[in-house]
Amino acid sequence: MLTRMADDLRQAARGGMVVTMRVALLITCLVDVFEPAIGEATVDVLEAAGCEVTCPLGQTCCGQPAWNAGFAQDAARVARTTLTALESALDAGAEAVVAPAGSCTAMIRVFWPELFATVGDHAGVDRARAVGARTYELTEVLTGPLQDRLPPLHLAHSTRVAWHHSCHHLRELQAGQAPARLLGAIEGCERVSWDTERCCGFGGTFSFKLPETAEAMADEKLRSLAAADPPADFVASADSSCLLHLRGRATAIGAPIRTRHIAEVLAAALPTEGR
Amino acid sequence: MTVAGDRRRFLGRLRARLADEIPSNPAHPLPPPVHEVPAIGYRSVQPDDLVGSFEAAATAAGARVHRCVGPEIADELLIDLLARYGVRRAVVSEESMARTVGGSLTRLGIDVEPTPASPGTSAAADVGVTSAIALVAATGSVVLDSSSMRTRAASLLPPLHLCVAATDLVVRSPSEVLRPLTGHPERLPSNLIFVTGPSRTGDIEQLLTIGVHGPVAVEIVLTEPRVP
Amino acid sequence: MSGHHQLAGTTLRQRTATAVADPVLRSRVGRAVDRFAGHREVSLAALEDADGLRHAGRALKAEILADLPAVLEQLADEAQARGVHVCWADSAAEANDYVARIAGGGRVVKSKSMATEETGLNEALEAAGARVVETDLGEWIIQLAGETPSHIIAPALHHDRHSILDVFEQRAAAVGVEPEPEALNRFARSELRREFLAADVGITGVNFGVAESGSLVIVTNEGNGRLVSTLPRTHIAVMGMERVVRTWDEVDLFLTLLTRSATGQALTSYTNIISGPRRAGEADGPDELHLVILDNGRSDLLATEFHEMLACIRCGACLNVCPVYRQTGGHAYGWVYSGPMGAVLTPLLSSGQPEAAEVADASTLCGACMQACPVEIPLQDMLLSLRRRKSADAGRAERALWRAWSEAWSRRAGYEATTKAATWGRGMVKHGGRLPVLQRWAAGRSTPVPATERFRDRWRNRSDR
Repeated sequence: MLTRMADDLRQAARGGMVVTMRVALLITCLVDVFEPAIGEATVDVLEAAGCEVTCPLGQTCCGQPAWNAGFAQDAARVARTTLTALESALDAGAEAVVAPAGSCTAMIRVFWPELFATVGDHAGVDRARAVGARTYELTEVLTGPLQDRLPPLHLAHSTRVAWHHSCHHLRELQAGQAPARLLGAIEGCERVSWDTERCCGFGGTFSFKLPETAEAMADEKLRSLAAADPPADFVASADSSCLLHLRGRATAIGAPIRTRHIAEVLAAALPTEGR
Repeated sequence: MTVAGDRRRFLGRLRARLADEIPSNPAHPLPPPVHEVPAIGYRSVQPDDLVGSFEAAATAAGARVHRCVGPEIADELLIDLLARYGVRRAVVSEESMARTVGGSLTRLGIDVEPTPASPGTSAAADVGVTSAIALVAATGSVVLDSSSMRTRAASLLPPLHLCVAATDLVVRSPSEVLRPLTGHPERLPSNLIFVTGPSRTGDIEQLLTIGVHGPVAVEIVLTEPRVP
Repeated sequence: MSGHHQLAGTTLRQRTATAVADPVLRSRVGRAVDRFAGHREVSLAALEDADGLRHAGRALKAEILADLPAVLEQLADEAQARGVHVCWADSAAEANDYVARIAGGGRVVKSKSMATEETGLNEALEAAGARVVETDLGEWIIQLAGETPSHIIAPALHHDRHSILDVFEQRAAAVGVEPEPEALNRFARSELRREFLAADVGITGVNFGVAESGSLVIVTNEGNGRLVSTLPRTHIAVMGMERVVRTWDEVDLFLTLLTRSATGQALTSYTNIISGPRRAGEADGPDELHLVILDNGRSDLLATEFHEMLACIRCGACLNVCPVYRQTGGHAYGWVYSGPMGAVLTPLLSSGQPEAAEVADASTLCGACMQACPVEIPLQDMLLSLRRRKSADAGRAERALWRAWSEAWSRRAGYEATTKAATWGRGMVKHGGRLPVLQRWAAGRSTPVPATERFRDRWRNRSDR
C-alpha cells in the first residue's frame, strides 16, 4: 500500500510517467569539467527511461588517477569524499548510482574495497562494498535494471558507429555485451567492424609517463578506423577518456575524427517529444 | 644420488614465508577450490569415430596417416614410402610391430640395423621405425615409450619417422594417457613422448616450418587389431 | 641481478621511445603476436568450457603454492628414487656454480630455458671454460647475434627472414642460403646436428616437474629438447621452483592450457616426459640426470600480494595480447622477461637494480593479460601493487603533485575552485610551462579544453529553474 502510494506520488511528480528508479548521478570529473554535454545526455537518457535523477554535488573524483599511479593514500582521501557524497544520496532515497564511465564504475565496484583495505580503512571497505553493490555504468543499468524502459530509439539519418570497448568496461565490469544490445535497438544505427577491443593507449598516467608508446597505440587504433569499410561516421564508447585521447591524437596528426559518448548516441535517438 | 645445496635451508625459507597468511585479492578474488581436476572436453573429437578424429588431427599436425586392411602392412605401401623418401638404411625400435616392419624392410632390400640402434647409427639412417603405446584422437599424437622401444633416437634422428600401430590403441585425448599415471608412478618409463607431427619451428616470423631438428616427415600406419 | 640486461643506465621511457620509433620492429612484433593470439583463440575454442578450465587452473595453482615446500620435497624424493641428482639452488649464482661444476670444460648444448636466461648461465659456463651452443632456432639466432630474447616463447621474434640470414652469414659463415624459412631451417639443422652429436652435456629448462613421480615434462616443437636430453651423457634440467605440479591429472590440465595458450597447438610437436636417466637395456638417454631447483628471489613472493605470480606457466599469452608489448617488443622491458608478466617479474626478481622498479609502468592496466592468462593471474593488480611500492621512493615533485591534488579534491570547495575553466587555464600556463611531462604529453595530441560551464554549473542552473 505504501509502495503504491509512493508510486502514485512519483507518477504525479513526473507528469504522468511512472518513476522506474531514483538515480544518483556519478558525473565523473572528466565529464564534469571537459564534457558537460555528455552529462546532460546521460540525464536525458535516464529520464527517458523513467528515472528520477539527482546529482550529489559533494562528489569530486573516484580517486583512480592516483590509484593507478600508485598513490593509494591520496586516492583514498579523494575517494572517501565521493563515497560520502554517494552514500548520502543513497540514504536520501536514491536506489542506484549511475556513471557515464566504465572506468570510474570499475574503480568504485572493483577497486574501492582494495583501495580502502590498502590504506587500512576497514570501515571504508564495507562502505565501499555497500555503495559498489548499487553502482552501475550507464549501459549496464540500461540493459539491466532498466531493461526495455527506454522508448523506441531511432536516428533521423542512418549512422555507422565504430564502437570502442573501453578496457575497464569490457574486462573489469564485463559489460561488453551491453553496447551491442543498446546500439542494436536503435533504428538507423549500424556498427562497423574495426579494431574494437584493443586499448587506445590512454591508461590515465600511462600517456604522460610513456607518451611515445601511448601515441603509437592511438595511431594503430586510428589506422584501423581509417581502414574500416564501410567507413564509420564516428567512434563511440562508454568512456570519454578514451574518446578524448583518440580525438586529441587524431587532431594532432592532422586527421581529425568525430567521437560520441554512448549517452550522446542514445540521447540523439530518443523520440523528440520525450526530451 | 647426490644432493647439492642446502635442502633444509631452502625449504625452511619457503615455510617461513608461508607461515604468513596469503593475502586475498579483493579486486579479483580466487575462484572456489576445486576438489578434483576437471575433465577436459574436446569439441574436435567425434566420440563414435576416434580413428577418424585421430587421422584428421594428425594430418592437421603435419603427419600423414595410412590405414591398412588387416593386421599387417601391405608391401605396396612400404614400397611407396621407401621410394618417396629414398630410403636405403633403416633403424627399428624393439616393439614387435616395429620389428615385423623391420623384417619386411629387409625382405624389400633395405639395410636394417641391429636393435637397439645407437644414436650414431640412427643419425645415419634414412628412416626410424617405431610402434606406439597409444594414439591420441584430440591431438593427433603418437605416444612412444622408451622401455618398449629401447631407443629414443630412432624416432628422432632419421629424417623420416615411420610409426605403426593398431587402431585399437586410439584414445580420445591426452587425459586417457596421462591420468592413469596418477597414483602409479611405477608405470612411467624413463622417457614417455607425445609426438605430434614432424619437427617444426615457429621462430622465423611465427610461420610453422617443418623439420628443424627432428624428423622432417612423420608417416603413421594404422593397422587393424589382431583378432585375439 | 643475474642475466644480461639493458636496464642499467637507461630509463623505460628511453627504451620504449626507441622501440616505437622503429617501424620495422613494430610491424614484425605486431604480425607475430597477432598470429599467436589468433591461434590461441581458435585452439581454446576447440575445448569445451575453456574458461572453466582456466578457473580450475587458477584454483589448483593456489593449492599447490600454499603447499609448495611439501610438494617440492616430494618431487625431489621421487626424482632421487629414480636416480636423479638434485640441487637446491637458493640463488642464480648457486645454480650456475653447480651446473658449471658438472659441465666442466665440456661441450654443452642447450634447449630454450627462461630460467637459465634469468641466471645468466651461458656467461657463467663460458667463464668456466665450457663451449655453449643454444639449439632452439630462435635462441641460436639471438646467441649468434649477441642479443637477449624479445619474447619468452619466441626469442627471435624481433627478427624476420632477412635479418636472420644476415646473422647466419655474419656469425655462422652461411654461404648461398636463401632468405626463406625452409632454407634457413636446413642450414640450422646441419650446423646444429653436429653439435648435438658431439656434446657432453645437455641443458634444458622444465615446463612441469611432477611431484608424485619425480618426472620432468619438457615441451618443444623443434625436437631440440629431446635431442639435448637424449644424446649427451649428462642432462641437467634447471627448474624455477614454482614449476611443480602434484599429479598427472594436473599435468593433463596445465599441459593443455600451456600449449593452446602459447602457440595455439593442441600439443607441441614433442611432449617429452623424463623420469630418471636411461635404464638398463636402453640404447640411449643420459647416464646422469641432474635437477636444479631454483629459488633466486621467488620465495620472497610467497604470501605477499605477488604470491599468485608464482602460478605463471610461461606461455606468453599475456605478451601476445598486450597492447603495449605489441608497440615496443620485448627488449624495451630491459631484462629477460617481457610483456605484462615481465613488467611484474622484472621489479620483483631483480632487487638491487634500481632501474627495474619503473618497468611496472609499462602497462595501461587494460586487463587483457589476465583475460588471456591460462591461470588467470591478476597481473594488473600486481602492477598496481608494484606502483604503490615504488611510489614510496617517488621524487618529491611527484609526491607533492598528488598531495596537492588530494588536498584540493578531497573537499568540494577545493575541487570546484581548481576545476573552474579560468583557474584551469591559469594552472596549465603556470605548471604546464614548467613541467616537461605535460609539455611532452601536449606535443603529441591536441589538449582537451575545459568547458566554460561545467556540468555541475549547468545542473545547478537547471535545478534553480
